[in-house]
Amino acid sequence: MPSPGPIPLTRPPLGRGGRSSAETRYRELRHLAFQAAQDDLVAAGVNAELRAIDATALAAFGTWPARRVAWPWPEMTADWRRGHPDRFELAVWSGDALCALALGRPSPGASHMALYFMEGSPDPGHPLRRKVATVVITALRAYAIALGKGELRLVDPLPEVIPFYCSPAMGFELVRPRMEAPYCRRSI
Amino acid sequence: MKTLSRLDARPASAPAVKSPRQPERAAAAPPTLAEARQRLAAARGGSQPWLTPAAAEAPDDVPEVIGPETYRKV
Repeated sequence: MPSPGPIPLTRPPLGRGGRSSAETRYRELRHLAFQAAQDDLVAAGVNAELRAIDATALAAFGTWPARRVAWPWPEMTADWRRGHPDRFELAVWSGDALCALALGRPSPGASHMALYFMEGSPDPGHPLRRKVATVVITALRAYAIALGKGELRLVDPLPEVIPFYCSPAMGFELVRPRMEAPYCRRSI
Repeated sequence: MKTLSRLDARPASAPAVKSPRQPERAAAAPPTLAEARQRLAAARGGSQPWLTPAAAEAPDDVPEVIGPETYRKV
């Protein structure tokens, strides 16, 4: 009787099921949306490259000097990858410079796409200085459109940034729901 | 005597009972790439232009940060 062969010591990869196929589909959707946003940015003279937060981005993040916030991006990215295949996950590059990182996620229905975390490079000489918000929101908007959402939200903004986002140039309005974090909203 | 289960007793017009363990998000299926392409193309050709990045630079004193002071798992 032939031997059944060695018993595999590891489980088959989590790759055949729904979670993996959702992860793949949303990765493709992000890529598509980021490509559209990047084309528009380049056409407008903004030399930004929009990518996922990969190991290269996290390594570059590790070299950022004194920061405004102490968010642990490697841990945050891992957390969000576990539960949110549809997440908005963005690393903004210009040449070899990592200019910003951002994380967000869509609402379950058609309502909105929310940005929860965005941090620009603290290097005052980075190539997209003062343009980070516009670049990230352009990418957020493209991904929201790709998923059929009707509104953008910036969740729990620092008080000192609210006047800028609620200015006519950016077009957001502030919402203060009871028992929840405030957010800035704008129709797509 | 036969007793009605909760499902049998539910009127046909009532919404289906959802398990509290079933996440709300599971119902939403991702769009196809073709649908997404179509939406992006329609948005670009629509009446509302994309942001004009050159016109929307943040003032020098505005931190390029959105989010709470400390990270909390969401």
